[in-house]
Amino acid sequence: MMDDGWPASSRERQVTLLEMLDRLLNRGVVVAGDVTLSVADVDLIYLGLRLLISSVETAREWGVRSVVE
Amino acid sequence: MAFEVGWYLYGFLSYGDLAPMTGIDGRSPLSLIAENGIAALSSSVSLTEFGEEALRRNLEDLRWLEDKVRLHESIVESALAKGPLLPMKFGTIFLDPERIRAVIRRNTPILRAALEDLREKEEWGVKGFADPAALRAAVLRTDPALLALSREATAKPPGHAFFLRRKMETSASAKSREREESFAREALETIRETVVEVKEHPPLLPEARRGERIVFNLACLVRQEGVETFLARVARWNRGYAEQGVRLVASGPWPPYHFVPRLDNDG
Repeated sequence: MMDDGWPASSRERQVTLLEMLDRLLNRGVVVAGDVTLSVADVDLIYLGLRLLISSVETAREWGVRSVVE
Repeated sequence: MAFEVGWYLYGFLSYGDLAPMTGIDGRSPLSLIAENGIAALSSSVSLTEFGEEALRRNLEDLRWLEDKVRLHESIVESALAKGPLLPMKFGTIFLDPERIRAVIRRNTPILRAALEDLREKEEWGVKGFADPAALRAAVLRTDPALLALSREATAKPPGHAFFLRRKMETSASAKSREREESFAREALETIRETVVEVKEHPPLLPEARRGERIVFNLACLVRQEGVETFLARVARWNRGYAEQGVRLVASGPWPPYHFVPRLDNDG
């Protein structure tokens, strides 16, 4: 699934993107608004994401957050 | 059309000043919808972009999604720089600000307590990775019983040595699994001492390097004054287990997405 040939920096950006999505889509305060993402919508996004991250070409600039290893 | 504009919600915060900033549509200014001393950070959005059907369509456009998720996050982060905030899940839109006020009215004590609780705290992520091959190599290199077996095998005739080596392989696999489990336990204990709260959750997608896998994925609530100690612990743990086939990766600070309260949705 993941391409390990990515340069470290773009890999890091992808990780940041994934971490961000993991938090924004799955967590946070849930209130039934008049328009609210449903579980099915979130699954749809994840499906799309799997396609996105499997493609090196789509690795784009994301704000890099401090990553401590 | 009855409603052409909706209100996108970013989070709840204590009422205060708001830096001038545009919302998730890149145009409309952020505003605070206040009630009982608590405010909903919000901005108006066009329903041609954020209405039910439009939203569903746009979510399939990953470029749009990336852009909006990044904006949601950056708006939450800049508001968070001024004080505690309870971040919303992405994609919550109301058609009438009065309904947002009603949510605040119904949940005022919960919101107030949560905002007070989260004061001067940050969310950090910690992932534990294991490289099974490296872990196994470390076990073979350091485990006294396996080293003894290895020595014995070299002294025996080929037939007997073959069986001893097979025994060694089986034992090495079992010991690698045990060691991975004990590493995870130790890491969790080490981290727990420096944080207010830990939540374990499944990782969204595998992000390990080649040959590695995620052993655990934690969300940690850390006191701002304790962040340095927390990160030093993570770094010390990694130094202590260098060459053992396991490592921790910390990321943050994040808005406290994993530490928000459940709200009453009725009414």
